[in-house]
Amino acid sequence: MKVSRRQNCNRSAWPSLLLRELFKSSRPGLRARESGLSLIELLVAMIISLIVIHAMAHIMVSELQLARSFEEHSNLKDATVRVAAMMQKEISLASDLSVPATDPTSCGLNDPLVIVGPRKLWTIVYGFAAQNPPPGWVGPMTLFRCGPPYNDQGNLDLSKSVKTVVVLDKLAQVSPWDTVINSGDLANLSNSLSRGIRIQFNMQSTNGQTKPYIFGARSAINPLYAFGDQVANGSTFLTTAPSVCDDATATRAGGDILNTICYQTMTTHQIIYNNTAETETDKRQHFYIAPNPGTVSSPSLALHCLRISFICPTSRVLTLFKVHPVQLGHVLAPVVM
Amino acid sequence: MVHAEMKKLLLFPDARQEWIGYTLIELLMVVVLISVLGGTFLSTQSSSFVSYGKLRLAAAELSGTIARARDTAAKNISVDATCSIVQTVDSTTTNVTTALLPANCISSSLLPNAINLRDRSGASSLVVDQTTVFTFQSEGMSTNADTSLTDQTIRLSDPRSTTVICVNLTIPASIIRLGLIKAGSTTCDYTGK
Repeated sequence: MKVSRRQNCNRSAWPSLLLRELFKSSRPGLRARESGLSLIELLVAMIISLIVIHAMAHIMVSELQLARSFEEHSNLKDATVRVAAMMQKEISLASDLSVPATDPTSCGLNDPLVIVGPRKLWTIVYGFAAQNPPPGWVGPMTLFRCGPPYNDQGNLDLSKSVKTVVVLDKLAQVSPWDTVINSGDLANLSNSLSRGIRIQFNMQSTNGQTKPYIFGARSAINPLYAFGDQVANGSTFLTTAPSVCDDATATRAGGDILNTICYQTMTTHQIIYNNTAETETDKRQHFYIAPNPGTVSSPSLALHCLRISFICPTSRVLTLFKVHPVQLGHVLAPVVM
Repeated sequence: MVHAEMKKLLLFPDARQEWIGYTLIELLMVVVLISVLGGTFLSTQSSSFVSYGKLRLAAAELSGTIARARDTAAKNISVDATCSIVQTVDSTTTNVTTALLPANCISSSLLPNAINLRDRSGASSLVVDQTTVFTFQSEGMSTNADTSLTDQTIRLSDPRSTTVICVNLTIPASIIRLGLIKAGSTTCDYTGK
């Protein structure tokens, strides 16, 4: 038996020989008769193996965690991109937005962002509910949208009642509404531009890390220049041209015209008139009249004359006027009805 | 044999002088024995593991195809266009097909190719709980004729696995979420816990 063991080890068991060589200095007395591995040798080999396996497992687990973290960040970014696209679309269609202290609608959301459509036809509120997170969603905070649903054509269905749904979870903070541009009281002369907002979503991953996703959105119009809003607000348009806007190149009484900038937009709409489809042309001419020291107290203010003409093929023309003080240097965005 | 050697060594220290250690054959026998036991155990679990892996693959294929349709809509359908990307998941065939409504409102070459979830995942017995239609508009927003819906969910399962994977699309934000139905529950859990 001993002979067969020795022969076996000498001929083919090179791992045994290797270990034996490693330990031969510590066990010189057994060298001559040894033909197998001792318990100590096995234990040492096991420990070395465990250390190697542990290191490899650690590397593998780290790789898996890295892949999972990457996937999670990718999903977070994907979700914020989707919500950002939706909010940008809705804000671009709106004529006003604001961040009031309390929700003015029946939605009852906290830290609301209120987006109002032209002529106040619709209102969409983004904010936070008392229950965070709701079942099936992940905290710490979840963003809600309260407003009319979309129909299958992708349009707001104003015939349906408003719905409150979760649009984004894993938010680390409330009040992501960072900076609102040109908001506030419409009587404030600085609010004569389209509305804008900078939004920052701080997204929180499962390991507690937060990552900011920032985007901006801007409305194409604002309540001062949206004809529909003016009508809805009681209409401050005039049916006859104010004298100051009669001829932008003429000299006004009481002072000289320093500069005049004209800006014109022209769009067409399909309308129904007497059961007949017609194409109406909406022509808007803007005259910016520079400060008149004799009549305007602030030198930074100018007068903005807006002349809107609705022109139909059957020679029906409706022209309305509006005069509004504006600050110099403002660039008016294209006006969309 | 190994046990006897160890017992001899531990109980009778004097026998150490006679003991000459384990041979390679003995070690190999132990390794073979452990391998047989481990293999037997794993074989009982492998069917479930493989089915779960294929389910995950099917869910990844489905969510990827939905995401491609959504992103195509976001990039190619303008806000004022009357155009929809309609994606249908057939529960009988497990085919996922994508079409335009109206036809050719954008280039059809932009649409994701039709796939079969069973073929893609290798899960020949994959079960899709219901035929579902996803509709994507401009900005990649998802809509539905039923405006009361806030999301759409497809449940993927395999008779050889106890796991059910949920693929969820929120309306209108089009966020795609993957979740599981845990044991003892009937609702999808997307919290990842």
